[in-house]
Amino acid sequence: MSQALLICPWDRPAVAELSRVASLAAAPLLGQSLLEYWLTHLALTGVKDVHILADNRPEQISKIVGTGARWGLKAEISSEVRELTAAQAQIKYAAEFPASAPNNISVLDHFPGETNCPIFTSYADLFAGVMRWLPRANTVDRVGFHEEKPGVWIGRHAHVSPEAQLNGPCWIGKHAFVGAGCVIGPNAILEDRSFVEGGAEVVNSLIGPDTFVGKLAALRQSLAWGSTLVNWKSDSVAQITDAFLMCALKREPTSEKFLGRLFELLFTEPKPEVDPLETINQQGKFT
Amino acid sequence: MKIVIHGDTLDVSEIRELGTATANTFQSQLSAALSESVKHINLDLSETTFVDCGGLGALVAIRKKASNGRGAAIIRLLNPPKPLQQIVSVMKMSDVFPIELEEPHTATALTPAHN
Repeated sequence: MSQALLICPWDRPAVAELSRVASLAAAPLLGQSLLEYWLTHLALTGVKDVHILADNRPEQISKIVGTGARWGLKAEISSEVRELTAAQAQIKYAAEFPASAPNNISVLDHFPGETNCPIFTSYADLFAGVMRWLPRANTVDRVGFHEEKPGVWIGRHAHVSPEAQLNGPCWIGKHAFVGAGCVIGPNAILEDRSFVEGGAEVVNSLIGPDTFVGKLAALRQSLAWGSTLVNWKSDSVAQITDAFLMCALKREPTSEKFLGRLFELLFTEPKPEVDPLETINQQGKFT
Repeated sequence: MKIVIHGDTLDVSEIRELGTATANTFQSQLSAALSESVKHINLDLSETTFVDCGGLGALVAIRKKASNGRGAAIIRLLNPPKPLQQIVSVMKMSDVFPIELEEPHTATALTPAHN
């Protein structure tokens, strides 16, 4: 087996809030996207060429994959108008992946090696899948994570107060901040650059990247991503309006539309005003 | 907002929003209805669509006023929507404001007609 076909999943209604923030294959889970875990896995199993069928946000996929050189792979990305199933992809790309020859076609809706455990079927499955993957997330190509004590993983440049209580299994991403008196875990994931203020509790929960959790907060059975709070057990979603409790630290990049409109206002010639009534009169409709 | 007094219980319903913008009105109306005999305050939040820190602050203020010098009055949150339950839980307020969910009515079994 020297080639593989990866199908990026399109938006899944069961995890709509995650789909909203990023392409599912590109969303960071334990500091890396599902796509990166798969490419590492394929590289380790001897695959040389990878063909990726991107979802509706191909730019996010190509930004991660590039040419595939990071994994020693030759990667090619194609866009489809809709998500293909593995069988449909095999028919469409029969020249590369003949049905008779051994091939490797995978839909990226599960972690490598966990075919029977899809993670985008519900928030509960997503959380369970990520927790199951946690001991294997520190793949051989990753640097900067160390196991502080059994089941407690901490990334480089993370600031963890010595007065914080860390209960494994838990994962603290790169550049994350954990204040004094925090209770983190068991079963807690703080993604890269998350900020948990002193005194907060994060148990059975995942905090997304660049997310602030205030000192008054106690997150249990939750997925917190920016100002969106999802209870993975009940599937309920709440938008937190109070930034001192929870908020996104990274603002949306300045829209090109805004700059474009500013440029238009400053440098384009004003159009002559046209009286709509006059136009109608010229057309002879109201004369 | 509808406020009804039954003995030592104050029932508050039809609360659409509990935010900073409506907190003062909510607080003043409830304060006016509070008397020394009130021991229980039931807030029906089944119709509430928006809550923020101002609204939660108003709840805390009402609790403080209701218990001022005469023992703690119990404030129950009845049937809050799931996102509101989440917010109360995240704010560690579920001990102070117990949440009570009404059981869904079970459909009565249809009896076969006898001719």
